[in-house]
Amino acid sequence: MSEASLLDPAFLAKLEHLSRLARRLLSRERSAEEGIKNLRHAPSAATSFQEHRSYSPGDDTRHIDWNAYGRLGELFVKVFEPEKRGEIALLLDRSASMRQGRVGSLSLELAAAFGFLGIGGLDGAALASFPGPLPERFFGEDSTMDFLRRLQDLGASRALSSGPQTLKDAAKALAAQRSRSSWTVILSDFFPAEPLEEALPLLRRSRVLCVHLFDPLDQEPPERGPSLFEDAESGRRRRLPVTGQVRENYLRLLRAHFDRVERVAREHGARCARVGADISFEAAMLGILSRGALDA
Amino acid sequence: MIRLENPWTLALPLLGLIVLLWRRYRRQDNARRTVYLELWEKAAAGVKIWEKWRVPLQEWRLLLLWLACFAGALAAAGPSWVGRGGARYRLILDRSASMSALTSEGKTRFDEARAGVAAFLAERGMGDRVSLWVLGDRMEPLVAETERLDSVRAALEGILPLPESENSQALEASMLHASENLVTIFFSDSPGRNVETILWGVGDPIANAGFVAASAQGTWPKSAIRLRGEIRNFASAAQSRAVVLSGSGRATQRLEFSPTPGATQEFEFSFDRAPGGRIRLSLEPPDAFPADDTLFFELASPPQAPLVLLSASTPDAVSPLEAAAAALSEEYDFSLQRVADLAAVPADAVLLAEGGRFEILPSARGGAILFGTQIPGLLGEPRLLQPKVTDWKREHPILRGLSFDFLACTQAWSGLGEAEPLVSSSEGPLLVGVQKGEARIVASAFRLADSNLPVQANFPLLLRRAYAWILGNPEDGVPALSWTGGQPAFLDASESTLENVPPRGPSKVIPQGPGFARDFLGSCVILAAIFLGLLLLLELRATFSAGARNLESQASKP
Repeated sequence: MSEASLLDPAFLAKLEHLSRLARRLLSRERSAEEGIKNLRHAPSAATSFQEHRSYSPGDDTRHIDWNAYGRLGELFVKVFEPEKRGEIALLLDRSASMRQGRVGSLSLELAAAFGFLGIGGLDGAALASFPGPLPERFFGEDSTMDFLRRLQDLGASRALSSGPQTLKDAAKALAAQRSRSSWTVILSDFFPAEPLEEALPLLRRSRVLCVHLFDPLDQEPPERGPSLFEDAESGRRRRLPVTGQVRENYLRLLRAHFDRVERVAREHGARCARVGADISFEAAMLGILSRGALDA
Repeated sequence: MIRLENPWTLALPLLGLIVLLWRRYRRQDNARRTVYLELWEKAAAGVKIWEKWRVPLQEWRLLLLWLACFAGALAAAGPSWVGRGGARYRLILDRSASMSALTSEGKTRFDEARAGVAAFLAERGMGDRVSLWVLGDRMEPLVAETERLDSVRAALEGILPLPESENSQALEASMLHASENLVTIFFSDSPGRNVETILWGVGDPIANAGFVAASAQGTWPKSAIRLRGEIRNFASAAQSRAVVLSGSGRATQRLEFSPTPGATQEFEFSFDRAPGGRIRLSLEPPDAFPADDTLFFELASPPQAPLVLLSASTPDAVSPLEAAAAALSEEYDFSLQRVADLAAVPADAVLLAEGGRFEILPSARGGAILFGTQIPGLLGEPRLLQPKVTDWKREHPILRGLSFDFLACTQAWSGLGEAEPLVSSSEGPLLVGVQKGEARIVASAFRLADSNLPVQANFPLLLRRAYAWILGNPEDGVPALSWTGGQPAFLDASESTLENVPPRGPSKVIPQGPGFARDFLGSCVILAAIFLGLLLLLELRATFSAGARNLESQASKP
């Protein structure tokens, strides 16, 4: 993904459109508006009084401070602190294998979408990457551009070395900040699966969604014959004979790996969504949301 | 060696090969980037070693396609095999009694000779033809000339030496059967030596591993003969030999030589030709190959009659007849006489005359050569106008080798019908040979001035042949230098070279037989068809298995 694409007005328009669609999809039992209310901050007994402001036509009459009207003869409404409903924490895999090609750009786009959703619909978004800087928080709609800029910096591989290097480190750092995350979304290829198994217990306080990104090309083995492979992570090269039996073995191992990621997520109460890099981020996002991955 | 008529046709497949190699190199250099290299390594952990070298189907297709294109391009290039072989060899294995003697290494001479034949056969090339003969009391063919050397080897194994024999004449007789372009190789022993291979080269009439006269030239028909020759030493040491000229009542002449190895020395003899007869030229003592150490010359007696020109019949200062007569006299080394009338002609002379009229036919012992001279009862009126030559006696000693296709006459006398016609025309004989008593007369019906005979190459030869016939020389009328008895046959073949190393003894480089050329256009076309057929089978297989593979991959996808 190019440097300017996350800030591109066209991309932002897509995020807006996606956000509207997401609002309808987030709750299955309530309406879209009601659903969005679950996300928007609404006064409740748990909220605290913050200040008065003059009444404006359209304000909720339930919030009019009648005591103040009796004393001052003017209408004032009470303004309460918004209810903290938590944030979406994003753990973005920025290892070598996730920084190149369509998988890398899709991970950034999905992270942008989730972050936009969190900033606009929840209390904000926390962004952590591994390797990458310490987690940062973005709340308030004014912080949307800051979030996207930060994401763009990660996409350009800037400021990667100062913070946690592995998924477990990133989860630990996130948990140490005692953030009340409604959702923790992990965007990674989850290979190998051991780091996920180590990180999920650290994220038990939030609901975890594992977005398993993969390149569909990996599901299509090359033609029979000697083939040169290069590890996307380490750059190591290895020439291997690809025969019919080898193809079968590989596909079986790949399926086992996918199953393992799902099993690990399920065992730790997390949800898993497998997304191929051959679809757009909008389709991926809608697919994830339509399956209730972010339902309460 | 492959020879191509159109080598440029191979440029396209060679270019294709470069592209294929570059493509393969580039494919090999393009690594497939994947996250799951570990999975691939685990998947390939149990693969068999031979499977690692399986060429993918795509590459087989490209390879077969390229092979088909290459074979087709090679066919279009007009290919042919050109080899050094193609020579004809006649191997003569001596199995006479002397061959049973033991050599210094404990083997018999015959075993050594047979091993030499086997070694020679092993070195033959494609197209060589070999025949195998054995030499005992006579030379006998064992295997006819063939390219199948296995049959020669099989026959070689069954040969046994004779308990007793006399093969000196057989060696001489074998040389008379040489033919053009045939290399004859003797595997035989020689006096005082162990077994050695004697090579007889094509194009060289007298050459062996010994020491012989190489060639001789003589000049004739002058009265004095000069005989030139050369002696070459093929041995590995200096040799002392003498060349002796003798025969037919002449004093023996002897020349001594001692050439060093490989050296050649010339010799020359001069002797009077007059006695004629047989001259013997011999090498003394004979060498290892005595059969060709003696040469014979048959000399005809020189003409004895003087040549007389009737000058009255040739009023021109230098007529064609006089010029030809002068050349003939110079050749025979005696002077030409000119007389004004018949009365002055010596009785034993040969008369030359053109035109005119004789009242009587010359009956002198010498004879006459007449061109258009009227003779009562033989040649006269009426005239023949522009007679056309229809035939001539090609085997007659006077006319042998001559052609009268382009002889033209404006007019000729008639009346030669009673004589033996030598040259005939549509109107009657133009040239006859007549025997009158002891004299012979050669008469033409036309004058030289009325024909184009003087400007033809036939004319001086005709004059000389007629002169010789009149004098009654040998049947062909030509005093020849002839080789008889004991001489090697001259193999008039084109030059070639090959090298043969015998099991023992000296080796000699001799010209090899002519090469051969065999085109293999048909083979290339067949190869191209085979490759295309294999390619088609691969394509069919791939087509039918593609569907199964797709189903398999879909079922295997996570």
